[in-house]
Amino acid sequence: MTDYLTGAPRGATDWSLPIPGPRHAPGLPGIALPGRLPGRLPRELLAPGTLLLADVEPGRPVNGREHQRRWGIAPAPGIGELLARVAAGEVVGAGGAAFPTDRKLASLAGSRVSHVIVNGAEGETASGKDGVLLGHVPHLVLDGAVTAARALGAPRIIVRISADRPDLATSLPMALAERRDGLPIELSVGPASFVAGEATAVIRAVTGGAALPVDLGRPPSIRTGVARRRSHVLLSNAETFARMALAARDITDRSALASASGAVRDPGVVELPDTGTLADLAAVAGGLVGAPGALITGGWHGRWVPWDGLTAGTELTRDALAELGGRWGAGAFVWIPEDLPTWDALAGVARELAEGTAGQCGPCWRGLPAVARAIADAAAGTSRRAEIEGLMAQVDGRGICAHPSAAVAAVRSALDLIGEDR
Amino acid sequence: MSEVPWTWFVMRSSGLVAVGLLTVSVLLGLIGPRLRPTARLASISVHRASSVAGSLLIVAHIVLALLDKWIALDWPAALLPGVAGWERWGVAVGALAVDLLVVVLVTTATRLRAPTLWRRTHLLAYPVWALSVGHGLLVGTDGAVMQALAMISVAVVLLGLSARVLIRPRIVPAVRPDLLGAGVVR
Amino acid sequence: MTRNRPIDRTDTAGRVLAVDWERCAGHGVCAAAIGERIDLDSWGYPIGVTTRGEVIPDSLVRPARLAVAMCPAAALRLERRTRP
Repeated sequence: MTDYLTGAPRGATDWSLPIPGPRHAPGLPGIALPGRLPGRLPRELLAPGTLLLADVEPGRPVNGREHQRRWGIAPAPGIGELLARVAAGEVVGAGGAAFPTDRKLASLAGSRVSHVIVNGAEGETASGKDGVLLGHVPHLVLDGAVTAARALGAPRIIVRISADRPDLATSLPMALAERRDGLPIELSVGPASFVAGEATAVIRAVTGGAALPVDLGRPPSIRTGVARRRSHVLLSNAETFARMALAARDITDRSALASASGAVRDPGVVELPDTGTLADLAAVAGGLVGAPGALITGGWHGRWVPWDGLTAGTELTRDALAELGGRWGAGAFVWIPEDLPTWDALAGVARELAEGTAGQCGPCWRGLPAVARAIADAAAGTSRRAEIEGLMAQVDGRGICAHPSAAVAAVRSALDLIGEDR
Repeated sequence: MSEVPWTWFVMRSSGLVAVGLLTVSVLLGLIGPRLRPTARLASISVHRASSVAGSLLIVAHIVLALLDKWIALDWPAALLPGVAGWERWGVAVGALAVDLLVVVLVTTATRLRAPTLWRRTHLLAYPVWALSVGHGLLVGTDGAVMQALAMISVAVVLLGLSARVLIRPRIVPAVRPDLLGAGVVR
Repeated sequence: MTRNRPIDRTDTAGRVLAVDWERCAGHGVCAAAIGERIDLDSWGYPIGVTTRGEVIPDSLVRPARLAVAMCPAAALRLERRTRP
């Protein structure tokens, strides 16, 4: 990620944050923990899954013919029938907000929908599930998008990925070439940054604007065409469309699709039954390295919880995690290595959050780097608590998108975990 | 001494004062962004007031010029550069200034509803000012007074321009170049 | 992009000031116009009633309109908030 503040006038936020330098954790040979995040990025599928990725060999995408043999032809229900099936399957948004998908579709029924957008941008570095789905079972994701597009009468589908996934940029066109839906499906590649994967940023970017969040109303609407007619857009996460595809086939089984990284031997993506626990997730990821003291649940916008017996036995469901004080978010779990002080880990995540702003709304773009710097000072030993709180109070609740508020909530949960007064 | 109608004097003086007011407006437009918020608020008010007052005087100036019997001008000459029967090019400069002024005024009136259009067109205020001064020099019958006014006006605007360039901007623009761009690939 | 839509909330109805964060550049003129309700944060951006979404009382409608009219970035709007 580029330091976009280079060249700013005097008095603007200074990017020379005193973040601790690269660290090597014993027991993790060859894996450097950069000064920002603990561990390697979870990009790979670790094992065949239980539902979406059932019988899928890691590294072997399922082509069109195999997909059809396994799942049959994609059904084409009308909007009413689709709503019923999606509701029966209890499909919710898998991008983080967990908004019920049937309600989202219902809000678009009867409107003019110009685009169905599959959001595979996955700007969150701790999450790899969307890339795994688009890489291994693209046709399942596309089935969901096509079914939704047919039901809503949308004439176009766009699949959005990020520029740091050249593998998907190669494999997806091959999958698209196998489709015979009669609906145009395009691939759109965007910048690989945190906020460029935000829903309104993607909508704006694929309709010709900048990859920056914007207020598009709820449900999001845009103006298209020469006549600038108003139309709505259906954007959902790649996993959401995959689950929609199953619900449309009257398959209401559940599963937990999660990314494990940090102090695990094999960071990657796993699909387990939702009766599985966080301990099972760690086990499939090669087991834990050492005895981590804390776990980040839900990615960088998530909640930090202590890693103990209670946490380890928590089931992989949104409700169970919420009860624990954690968050499912995008299903990203990061175990903090035992030799990385929690303050240092927080400093790294705070820096990640600061670099993840769109650079658009003042309180976020100025405030989050200031928070990151104050946390870095605290990690180095200076007391900064009052300043951190004061800064976060000026960031929380402001700006166009949810990033500033979500970042503040995550930092607060980490500070609660740390418990010290620094 | 022959009777010179009062309208002749008022026409000329309204033109002169209008140039003065436009100069004030341009000056405040230049230095406004460098002022503290409280001062900026006052500056914006005076900027608008002087622009409106100057524009009204320009209207008076044009109306009286059209009514005047000694200079033969019809109303198209006031708006279309180059069709005037008297002092064709001097009046043309004035007519062009009026055309651009109309654009600036209309886009400012709709500024809240169409802010991007306003932002792109408001810079036309600079040519409006310059053309007004030029018009005064070309057809102004007040010789020395007009020249003095022109010199002061240019000096003031140059001072404002220097202040705008030399004083450090108060705000930092906030856009990330690496996030712009769509990229649609088949 | 819809701009002039009423904010739907479940509490009191009335006029509220809302910031368009895409346009706001931190000029601070709004705080000068309606200092009773808008302050500037550490970086010069409006904070206060614009963040909390409080209703503007009738006594402050004129300063509120002034703030809306004077914002150099046209980033402020005064909206009617209706009960659902």
